Amino acid sequence: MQQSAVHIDDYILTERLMAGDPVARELIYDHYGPALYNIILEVIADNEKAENALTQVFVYIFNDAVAYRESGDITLFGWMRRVARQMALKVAVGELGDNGTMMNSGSLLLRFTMGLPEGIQTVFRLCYYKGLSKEAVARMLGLQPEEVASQLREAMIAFRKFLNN
Amino acid sequence: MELDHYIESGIIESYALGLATASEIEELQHMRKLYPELNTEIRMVERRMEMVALTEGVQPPSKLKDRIFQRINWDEEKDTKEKDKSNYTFINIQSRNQDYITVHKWWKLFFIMVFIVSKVCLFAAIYYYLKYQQSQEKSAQSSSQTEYRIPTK
Repeated sequence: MQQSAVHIDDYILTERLMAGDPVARELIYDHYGPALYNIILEVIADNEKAENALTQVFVYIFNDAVAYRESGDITLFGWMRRVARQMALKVAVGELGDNGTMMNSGSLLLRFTMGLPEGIQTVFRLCYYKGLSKEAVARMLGLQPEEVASQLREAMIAFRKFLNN
Repeated sequence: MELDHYIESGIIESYALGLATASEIEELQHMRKLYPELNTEIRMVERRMEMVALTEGVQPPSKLKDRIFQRINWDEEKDTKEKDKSNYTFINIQSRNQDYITVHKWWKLFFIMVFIVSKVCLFAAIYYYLKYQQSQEKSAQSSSQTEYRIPTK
C-alpha cells in the first residue's frame, strides 16, 4: 500500500495527542495504522489476534503518549514501531508453528531475513519474530550466548548495509 | 574513530528494531550524551525505516478503526465519571454569624427530656398545691364546727 511521504512533526503531534485531540488521533491512525499493522502481521499469523494487538497498540499510544516523551526515543514512529512489536509478541505468546512472516512476503525485513546465511537467519528469526533473548536462543540451538550475540551483530551489520542500499 | 566504529557495529539498527538489550540501550544513551551527532544518525535510520514501513503498510479492516476509537471514548467517559465523583463541591452549612454555636446532637434529646420533666414537675406542683388547699379548707371547716358545738353543752 502506497502512503504519502509527507512527514508530520513529531513534537506537535505528541503535544496534540497528550492534549487528547481527536483530530491528531485520527491523523496518526490513518497515517501509521497500515505500517504498524504490517509490523504486527510479521509476528502474528492469526488475523483476529493481529487486530487485537493493533487495538491495544493504539489504545496505548493514544492514552500514554507521554511515555514517548519520557522514553527519550528520537522519532515518534521509532517508538511506535517498538511498541507495536512488543505488543504483538505479547499477544502471540503460545502461538505454535510459523509466525506471520509469510503474510507480506514482499516486505523489506522479510527479504532481508531470507537473504541471510542459514545460521544467522535462524538466530535473527528467533530473536526478532519470536522475541526470544540471546540466552534462550543459545539454549535452543545448543550454542554459547556469545556466539548468538556475535551472529546477531553480524545480522545487524548486514541490515545496516541492506537499508543503505 | 570510536563513534564511526560504534555506528558501523549495527547498534542503531538493533535498537531501532527493538533487539538491543537493556545494557546496550544504556550504553547507547550514554554515547548519545557524549556524541550528540549520534542522534542525527539514529533519526536517519529510523526515518529510513519509517519510509519503508509506510510504503509497505497493510490496510487494517475498516471496522477496527471504529472499534479503537469507540474504546478510547469509553475509557475517557469512564475517567470523566470517576473524576466527577471525586470532584464534589463542599458546601459549608455553618453560619458565618459568630452568635451561633455548634453542639452535639445528643443535646437536642437532653433538652427535650428536661422540657418534659419540667412540665411534669409543674403539673405535679399545681396538683399538690390544689390538694393542699383542699385539705386546708377541710381542716378549717372541721375546726369551726367543733367550736360551734362546745357552747351547747
